[in-house]
Amino acid sequence: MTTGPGNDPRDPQGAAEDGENWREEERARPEHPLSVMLFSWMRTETFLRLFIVGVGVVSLGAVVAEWVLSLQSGEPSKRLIGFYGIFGGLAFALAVLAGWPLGAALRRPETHYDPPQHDKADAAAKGGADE
Amino acid sequence: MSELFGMLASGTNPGFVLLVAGVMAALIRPTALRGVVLIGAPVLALLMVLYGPGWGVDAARTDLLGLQLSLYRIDSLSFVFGLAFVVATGLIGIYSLHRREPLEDGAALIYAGAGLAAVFSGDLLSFVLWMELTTLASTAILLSRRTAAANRAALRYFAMHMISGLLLICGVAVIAMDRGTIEFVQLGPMRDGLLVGILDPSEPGGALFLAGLGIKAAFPIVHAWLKDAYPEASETGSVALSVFTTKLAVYALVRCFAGFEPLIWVGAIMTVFPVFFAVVENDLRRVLAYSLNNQVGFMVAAVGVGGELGVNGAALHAFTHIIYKSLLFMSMGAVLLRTGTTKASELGGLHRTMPFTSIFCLIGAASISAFPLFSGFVSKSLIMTSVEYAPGVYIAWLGMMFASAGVLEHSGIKIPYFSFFSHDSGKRPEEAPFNMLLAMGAASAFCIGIGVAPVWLYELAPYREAALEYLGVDLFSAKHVLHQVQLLGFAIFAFLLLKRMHLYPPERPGVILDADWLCRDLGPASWRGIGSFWERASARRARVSEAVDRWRDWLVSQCGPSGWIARRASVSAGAIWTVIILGATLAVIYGAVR
Repeated sequence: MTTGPGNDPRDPQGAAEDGENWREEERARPEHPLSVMLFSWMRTETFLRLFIVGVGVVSLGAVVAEWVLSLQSGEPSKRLIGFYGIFGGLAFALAVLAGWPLGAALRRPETHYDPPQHDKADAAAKGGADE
Repeated sequence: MSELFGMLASGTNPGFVLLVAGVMAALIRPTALRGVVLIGAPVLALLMVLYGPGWGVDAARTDLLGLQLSLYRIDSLSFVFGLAFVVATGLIGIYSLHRREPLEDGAALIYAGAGLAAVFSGDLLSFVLWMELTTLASTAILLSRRTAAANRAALRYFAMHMISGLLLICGVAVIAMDRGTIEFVQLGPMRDGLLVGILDPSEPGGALFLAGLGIKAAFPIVHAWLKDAYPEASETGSVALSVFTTKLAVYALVRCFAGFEPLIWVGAIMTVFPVFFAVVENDLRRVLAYSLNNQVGFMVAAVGVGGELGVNGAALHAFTHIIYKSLLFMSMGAVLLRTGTTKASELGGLHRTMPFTSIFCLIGAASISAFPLFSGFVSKSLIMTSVEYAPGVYIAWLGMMFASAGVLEHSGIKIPYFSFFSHDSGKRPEEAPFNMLLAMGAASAFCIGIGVAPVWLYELAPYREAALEYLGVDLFSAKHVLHQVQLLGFAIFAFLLLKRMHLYPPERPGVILDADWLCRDLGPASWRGIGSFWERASARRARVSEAVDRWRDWLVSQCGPSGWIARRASVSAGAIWTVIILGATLAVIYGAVR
């Protein structure tokens, strides 16, 4: 049973040494037969286009079915045909597009919360003194 | 033998079994023997839950400081939470069999045992004490990863939960003084045959208790501990952490504050804001933590609605959420184990060599997104319906609808897409160990089983008749299913369009600032600012003091007994000079003061 490199915090040195071998072994690993059977045919552009069309058809079909069955009720906005679909699509797009300004405003380097360098030096000096 | 088990089951809180097993697991070194404990203890606890004392019976009582404590009491509300905890403990046991970490295994079982004991407590003090044991055990789980980041996160987590514990215990003390009892049975009347909403949040004790639970449930502003701590645990630790603390808080909210309307708004806000953070977060386990926060928001909103539908929704959604959230954390744990990372920017294409994990992750994603025929649909429908028909909260309902689309984005699509599909990262890790696959497979079976045949879950509902009526009339009605298909279908369509138009934000490494910025950035910066101001002020004061000293010395040298006035002038001239200098000094002081 192998684990990923650097995954064992108690043995970082060993993990680093094993890292190269692990990557070599990993590159040589063939695709799993189940993956070939289930997923390989999904990688084509044709499938993607068909998938988009399929999702569109199902979504519009749900709207048409709602209209045919006259299922609208409740608040005025909810009586709008396809309200749930329109709301879902717009909400999803809003959530995703908000990621651009939010990412710019809130993202910091990964070391942002790391202790300052002088703290580490102090800790190291203290550790050395203890030893 | 069966009589002995009957006696054990009817008088012993099943949490004790897990607690004892936790101590054993921490001490046992042989992995195989520990495996027996990890799986055997939840099985025994499950039997005790199923064959325990009758509902509403105080099976174990004691008194402490003059207060009557009910150590073991089951009713239809605690039963559904307890059952979910036991099932999750079993899944975690199977999932962690490949590891050789006795301390973490022991801490996880103690965490589960304390959680179970808390759910089956019949009074506030027992509940709080057990809940504080979950804090200690969960901190131990975090510390057992033994990385600097995990240690720091554990300290922050512990500090937040100590504040919460303090508020809870103060609340219990005030309630005990005000009402003279802390037993659920005596605190509040039954509502439709169930002890829910037994505390009044407008009373001081109730308010303190609600504030304490707010931290545990990760209410807005005090939520950052969740996304800070959970992703720092090990691959098994984060699964365990995802199950108990927040759901215990939800259980307590139902028990104590069901029907408290402001919770609808708190819950709605909880569902919405994590969506935005999850979109920009790169660490997929942190995305799951935000998603957990969002899902707990749905439960909190249902608690606010109260009534049969709201209570059923909160309890059943907690049950399904425990399973599918565990499943998602398990799948990311498997990715962490095999690749050493869960950062979306470093992953992609793992389905080629981890197809089983990919499938299980997709099942978890479909469940949390509430696709029809998956477990999330079955339970979230109750909540959405309860809020939809609650008066005066239409905006909150719209917010929760928005959050439903957001859930699809961050947990339904982002988690499986960026880890297993998306661009090929070139990583070809080995498939997860068999025990992990087994646990994920079992959790997936629950997700699909509940989704396809929800009747058995609905029979567990606190208000069984109301749940079965909803199942028969509303759950799979054409209107309900079509609305959900519309919502999800158009949202997926939006994803595909945004992706093709390159409008989907790319995954970038980095830390996302959240409310913890207040205590991790602003707090230390303010402290440093105050320190440097004090230093500057001290230096300035020293300079002023030196100048005053020099001036005094000069004055003494000029006007003292050996000064030039005394040496050269007559006594009358000296008196005149003294009057002049004194007058000038007074004039200067007067001018300065004025």
